[in-house]
Amino acid sequence: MRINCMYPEGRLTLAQRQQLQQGLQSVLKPFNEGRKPMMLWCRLKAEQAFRARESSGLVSVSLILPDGTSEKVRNTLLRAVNDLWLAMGQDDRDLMIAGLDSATFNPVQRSLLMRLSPMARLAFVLKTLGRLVTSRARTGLAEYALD
Amino acid sequence: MPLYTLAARERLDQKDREQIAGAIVSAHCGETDAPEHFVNVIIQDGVSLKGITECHISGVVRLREASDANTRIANSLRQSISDLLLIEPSQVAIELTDIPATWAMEGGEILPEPGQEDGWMKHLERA
Repeated sequence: MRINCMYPEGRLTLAQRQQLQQGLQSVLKPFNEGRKPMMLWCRLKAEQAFRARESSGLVSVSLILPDGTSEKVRNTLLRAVNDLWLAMGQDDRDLMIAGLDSATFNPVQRSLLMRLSPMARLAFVLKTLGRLVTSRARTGLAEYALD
Repeated sequence: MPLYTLAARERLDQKDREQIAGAIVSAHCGETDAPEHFVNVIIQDGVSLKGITECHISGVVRLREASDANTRIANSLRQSISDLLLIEPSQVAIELTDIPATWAMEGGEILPEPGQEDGWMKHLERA
């Protein structure tokens, strides 16, 4: 299992992101053969995100699950993430959670990368890796920006 | 859900972004009758896209069995975005991915099947 979390800049403080990551990894560990799932953070500029034509404060959590995960397990996981969000004092109208099979998620991710020109693709991968490593060392969160 | 991610080769100002987000909302809701509140859009600009592509749109949408909604959404998006960005429709690349409604949750509720959004909307509008 992997976790991707996307948020608009300014929507979550560093302390809230660290709390959410710790909580998610703890809650989801039993569903990941006892291992903490890897989590990636994607920060959007506030002006990049819209919901229903308006600027959006929506936080999106995607769980990338083994193919064929049962509906029961999937629903349990979605509910667990939502409960954790509520326990942090957040409003669940500001949260979108998806539990996606790897076979569905991976081609979408690949397509987002392959739409770039070869040089831009290489630059994006190198820049993102650099940001993930630096951010992880500085804050404990593997985070990159979509800019 | 849906979540659309648009990348444009040209630089956009905030007014452009708002118009593009509005066009995507109109295309999606016009072809599906989904409430606008469902539609999320992320816009990147100044992106070096491959080939002749001036604009790439990736959308993750709820599965509609036995429906040509995705084709209609794509056609509508291609026309409205090319009009806004003053590019040829053939320079707009669109990829839509279906997922079952039960794979996502918003507002603390599993997403409803397409056409059954009333209860979910009432829940979201709660005080």
